[in-house]
Amino acid sequence: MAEQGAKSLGPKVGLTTTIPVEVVLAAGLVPVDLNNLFIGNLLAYQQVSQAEAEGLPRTICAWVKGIYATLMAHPEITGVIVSCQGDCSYSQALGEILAAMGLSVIHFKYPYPKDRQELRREIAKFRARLGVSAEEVAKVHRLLQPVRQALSHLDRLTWETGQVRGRENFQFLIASSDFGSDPVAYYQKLTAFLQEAQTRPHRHPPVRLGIIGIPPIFLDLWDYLEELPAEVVFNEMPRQFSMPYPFGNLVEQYLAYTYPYEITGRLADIKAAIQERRLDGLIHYTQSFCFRQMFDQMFREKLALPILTIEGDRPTVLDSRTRMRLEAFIDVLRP
Amino acid sequence: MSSALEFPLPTLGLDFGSRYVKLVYDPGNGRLIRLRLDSLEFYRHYLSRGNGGVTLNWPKLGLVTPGALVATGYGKNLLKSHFPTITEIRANFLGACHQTSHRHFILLEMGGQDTKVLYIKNNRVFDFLTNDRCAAGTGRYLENMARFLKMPLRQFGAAWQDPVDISQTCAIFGETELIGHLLEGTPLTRLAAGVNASVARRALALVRRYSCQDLLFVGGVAKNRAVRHFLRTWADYQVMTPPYPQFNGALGCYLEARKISGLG
Repeated sequence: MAEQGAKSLGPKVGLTTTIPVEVVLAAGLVPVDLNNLFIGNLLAYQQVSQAEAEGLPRTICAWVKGIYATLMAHPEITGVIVSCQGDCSYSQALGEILAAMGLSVIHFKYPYPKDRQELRREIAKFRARLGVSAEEVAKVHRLLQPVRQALSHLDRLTWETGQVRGRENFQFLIASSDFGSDPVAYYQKLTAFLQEAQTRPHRHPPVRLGIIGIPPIFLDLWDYLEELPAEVVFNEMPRQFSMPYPFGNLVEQYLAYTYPYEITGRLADIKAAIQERRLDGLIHYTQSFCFRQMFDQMFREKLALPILTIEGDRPTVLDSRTRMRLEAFIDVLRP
Repeated sequence: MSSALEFPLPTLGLDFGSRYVKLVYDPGNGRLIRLRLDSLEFYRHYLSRGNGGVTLNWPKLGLVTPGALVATGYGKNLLKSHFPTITEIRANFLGACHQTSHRHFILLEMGGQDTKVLYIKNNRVFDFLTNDRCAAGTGRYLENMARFLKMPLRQFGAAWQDPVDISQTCAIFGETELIGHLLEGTPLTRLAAGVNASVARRALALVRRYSCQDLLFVGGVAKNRAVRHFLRTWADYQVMTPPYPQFNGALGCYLEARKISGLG
């Protein structure tokens, strides 16, 4: 973990992926998940082109290019936390490019293979870098528990009663990596939403789906699935970002988090969801040029459920071929 | 009470593919008529758009207006508001089940721009795969390569001996590779065999995901004898090809249309 570059840190700090956000908040900094900032921008597509025009190759992940362009458009974000292990090598290279441009880059490394002692050490290093004590971080961790519990409740209302739609589930859970940069406002919005959702009638979708893989870059996937009609009752990665583990300890929480570690953890998590949520099928979203595409065959071998693999590159609406495949998949699953 | 003059109405299955439109037409006597038209020609000459709708010119097609019609294929969205449609996967599944007595098999459909693999278990579609976002290894790719080598498609599709290696990464670079081999003086039949082998290799990469040795091969590419040969010899598949492989999806639509009209 080494700081490079000249600019000073804060108050806004960019995140390239989910890291122990409790440490950032304890340091009084404002976490900004750059993925969410990128995809929430109406000009996301142009941003990818802009990053390419500035020299990033066409044959790399569009999320990484999006993050790069987003940082260029937001000079107020002077520091970035880059996960240099447990995410991908593109992020690692991006970190170096950003450091060379003068941004303050802090590295966080998830141990691979998963290791409790190493994770503890890494979190301690991260704390030290941001100048906060273990107690201060533990306090933030405690304060966030009601938010995380509310997110678990929202997730339950998605698969158990159908009162929360797949798209709503995705939007709240995906935003939990940085709590929309404002945990208090986020919690207020979340509780207000839950209050309203609980008054809705129960819904029983004809086809129950899970989406596994990194967050899809398609802008209209959930809407189209609802049209077919099918409901997403399991968003694997966004749920992971919400840390749905009732642990009193930060290390255990980020050890149970499946994304940065071996595929076995993800498989166990997905298998449990298939059973509990009574899934009819899975959509495996893969990103063009992402190494995680390699896990597709493993999912097919280890999960006894029909799986449709779709691939996205840039932030666009679904192309006609993917729509055709989704339609056929739902048709096959329909009772 | 039915009148003595009540004739059975014709039934039609229509597969609007990327390359061809395939029709399976039953005039009412169960004797199926199969028609294949170029998709662009069909769109230009047999389909009229206007008054917010789409109409098919039945007399021009030489057909009596069908009483029931079901459509599938890439162009089905155009017809969706006028006729019932089903997905290509369902159409091919229905057609295949009609043409084999197997209940557990792999269905490989290789069309103009798509390869689909359906895994059928206990007479239902258990899973399916389609090719990745690349045109290499589709029917259109084979056509282009045959045209490039100036070989009739039939002759091209019979070439399987001593194939040259084609890296098959891309439909465009595939041509560049062929030029390289041509300049080295490689015989045309070896080049054609190489292209056929590369197409079979891509199909096998999908087919091998399922553990079953019975393979029903349909779609236009199923007429390519070399691809069939490679599937048989490389992976020991029991390759079955129905008499009109290109019409499998249209047949599925026809069967669905019969069902809708209460005949099936």
